[in-house]
Amino acid sequence: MDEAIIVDAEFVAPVGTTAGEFVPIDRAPAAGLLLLVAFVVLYAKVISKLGKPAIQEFLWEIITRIVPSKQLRRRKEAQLRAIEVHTQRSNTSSQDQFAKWAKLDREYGKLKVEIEDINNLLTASKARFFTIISSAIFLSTTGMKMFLRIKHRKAAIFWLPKNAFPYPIEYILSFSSAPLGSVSVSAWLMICDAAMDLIVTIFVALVVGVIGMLRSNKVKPKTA
Amino acid sequence: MDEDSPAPSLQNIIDQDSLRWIFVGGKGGVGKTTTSCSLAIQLAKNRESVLLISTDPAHNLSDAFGQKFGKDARPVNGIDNLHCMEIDPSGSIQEMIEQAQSAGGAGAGMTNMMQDIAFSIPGVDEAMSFAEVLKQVKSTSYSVIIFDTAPTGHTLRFLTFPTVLEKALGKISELSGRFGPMLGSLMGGQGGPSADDMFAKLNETRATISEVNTQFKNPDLTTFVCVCIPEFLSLYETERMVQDLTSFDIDTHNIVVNQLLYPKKGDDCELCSSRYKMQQKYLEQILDLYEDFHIVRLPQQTQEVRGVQALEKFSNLLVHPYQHIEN
Repeated sequence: MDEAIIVDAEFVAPVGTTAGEFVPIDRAPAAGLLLLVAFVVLYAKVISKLGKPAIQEFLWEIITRIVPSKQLRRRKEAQLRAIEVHTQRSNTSSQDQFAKWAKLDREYGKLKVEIEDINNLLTASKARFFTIISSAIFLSTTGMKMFLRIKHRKAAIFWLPKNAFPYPIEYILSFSSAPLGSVSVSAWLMICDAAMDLIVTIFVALVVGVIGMLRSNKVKPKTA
Repeated sequence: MDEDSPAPSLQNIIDQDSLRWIFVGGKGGVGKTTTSCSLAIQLAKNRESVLLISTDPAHNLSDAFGQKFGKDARPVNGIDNLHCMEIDPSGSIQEMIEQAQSAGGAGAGMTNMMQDIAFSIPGVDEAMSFAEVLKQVKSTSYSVIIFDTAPTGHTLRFLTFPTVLEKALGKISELSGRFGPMLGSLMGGQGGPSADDMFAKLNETRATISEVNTQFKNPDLTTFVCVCIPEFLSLYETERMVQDLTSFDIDTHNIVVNQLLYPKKGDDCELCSSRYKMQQKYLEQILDLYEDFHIVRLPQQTQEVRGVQALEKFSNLLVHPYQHIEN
């Protein structure tokens, strides 16, 4: 490995060094960064395909299942009690046993208010949870991409073969601050993104095609 | 009768010197006016000055006392420190609308529209006229003020939640402020000042209401006397009223059960005895349900209670519970 680096090394004068002083440049691909970027893009893609609301709902569902919520339990109890009181009230003649009926009615009213209050509380905490999830998603996708772009703006993901592409293409691929002749993080992000879209499109098309074929094969003998 | 249940009389109201507002409420025909007049007579014996207000357009105070009352407080013949007042609740608002319309001009179209919107808030007219009454009364020096014909649910809601009215009025006045001038100029004229007057008045009302509101929620100053008859619907309405009042934080701890029949023993009036049974059934329910209330039982009168003397005699029943003499 060491030898390969030395063989591939090219001697250029980096900025800030005097002309006579040559510093070897590592032209091996930055495998870790390459994979990391690809992974981040894949992750962001999956998240966006699933959709933020679906993820939020799903996580909320899980959280409420795992963490025993006092509010939920209270609501459940109140609801059960409300149903019970309601049945009792409808089984009580308001004309013959008004006092009993009215007491049940009061209790029913109170329970309804309680359930309403708990619902409001739950809605509020759900909204809070959604905001947290939403910011977490933003930070881990868009935020992460931004971070990688800025942190490794000078890094070369991998190098292009020498003189294989004209200058404008090399310039775009190394945008914004990666050394000329290499592929920058920004460019790699876009490439990964486009590639994944393409893969998804091809895959979907294939699946649809295969299913269509299978179906038509199945249908044909019947009609024939 | 249990030892620990509250006394079956309205003596507690008469003894509570801090009370300033007393509402007498209940559905029509249960003897609300008679009760409020009687209560006023009893209070007049203990307080410096008492004002009895009716907002019923049917002018039932005049009929009860057999004397003509009007828009301004007039003393009752024979009871110098008891004043009565009869107010037409729709009067003040109607006046205001007419005033605004006659002011007219090019901006009148806009004003009318805004008025229509403002008055389409349910209960707002009633609340406004009620607030108007309160404003008049507040400046006077009566030691206690009794309201016959208590305001209905909607009005109570506005009185106890001024914020609801405040928000609604705020929105409308903002809208009119924003679009009024524009529409006015489109219609080719100056916007009349009547719209502004209108909202100034509405805002004034709002201020009065929120001021009075705090007093109404104070059980030392305000209480509500429910009047009912021992029949199902009346009972049902009373329960709803009590629940409403509780939710509005208005104190209520007195129920007057009126028109109770006490047939004489050996009386072979079939109707009387069957109705007596029915009434006793509901009375039991009332006693059971409102065990922490003062429940006053008033007997059915053989004649209409009219005139000061009759009322005075009847009013004694409020403080000295009626004892049915079995013979």
